Amino acid sequence: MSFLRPRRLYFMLKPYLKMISKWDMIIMVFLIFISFLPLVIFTISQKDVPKDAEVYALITVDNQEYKKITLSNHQGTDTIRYENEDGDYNIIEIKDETIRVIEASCRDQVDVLKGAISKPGETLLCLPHKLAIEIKTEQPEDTEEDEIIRPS
Amino acid sequence: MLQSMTKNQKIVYIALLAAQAVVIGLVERAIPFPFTFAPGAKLGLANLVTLLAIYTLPFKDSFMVVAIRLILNTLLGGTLSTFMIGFSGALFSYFGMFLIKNLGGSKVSTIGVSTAGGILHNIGQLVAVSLLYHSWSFMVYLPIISFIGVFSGFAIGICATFLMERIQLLRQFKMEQMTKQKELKS
Repeated sequence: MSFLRPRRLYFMLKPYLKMISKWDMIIMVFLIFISFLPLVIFTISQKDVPKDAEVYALITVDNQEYKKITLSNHQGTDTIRYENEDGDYNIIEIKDETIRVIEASCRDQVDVLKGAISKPGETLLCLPHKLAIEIKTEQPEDTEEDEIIRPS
Repeated sequence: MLQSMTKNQKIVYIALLAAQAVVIGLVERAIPFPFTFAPGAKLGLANLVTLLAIYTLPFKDSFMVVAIRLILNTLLGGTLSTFMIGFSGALFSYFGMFLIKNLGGSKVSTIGVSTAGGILHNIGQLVAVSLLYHSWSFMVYLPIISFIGVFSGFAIGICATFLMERIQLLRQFKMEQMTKQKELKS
């Protein structure tokens, strides 16, 4: 595995590294900059939310509200089992002020791997079951936050 | 010596590229991705085929390759929502790469084009997810996924350059495409 040695790797890649032109760099930096924009908009809009706002988790299935769970001052452990007509299920656990999916019958397990979430704006997604868990805050700011983020 | 592709050659070439893209996509789906912090992040190996198509075929035919790949990938184990997400990602990256390649000309290398394609693919996918779920909070993942996209785009750019240098047929198709474009411009 001689190509794994850094020096050798550098000499192998050198002709290709030279290929990168000024415009390549400009495009790359521009696109990375763009990809940070949503995060920046998000943190700015989150700043307005007062600390005492009530945090809750909204569980939606196919964009229809399924359950709303208050997370502020929640203590102990609760589990919710969601099951659809096809027998697919997600087991959701609320522990103190965090929420996570501990078990899912879907293939990719993205929601289980993501772990626990607790901050406003964080989400858990189960694309195969069209299940989404979002953390939101109960305040009049909630509608305003939507307006800021939607560009249309 | 340079003779242009016959119609049948072109059809076979398009079919081959599309088939390769589908297989690469299936193989890629079987690789479990180890990063938990960026759900849904992928290497985007199918981008390699799109890149080759853009460099060796005219617009109409390279678009055909992308469209066939999307439809076949959906038929081979996809749902409507994954189709819409993949559709938006692939279209974003295809048009982005096409524009950058044609506007940039010789100023932009294969690596730049493929990196842009990788990042635009992610942006397109996340926009589709956000529209499907009426929530823009998924866009927060974008920086992490973009960084992965830069590295995989870099690797795929090198790969495509290598293939277009070493495989005689690909080199020939690329030269043909370049001369055709020069004729159009002049």
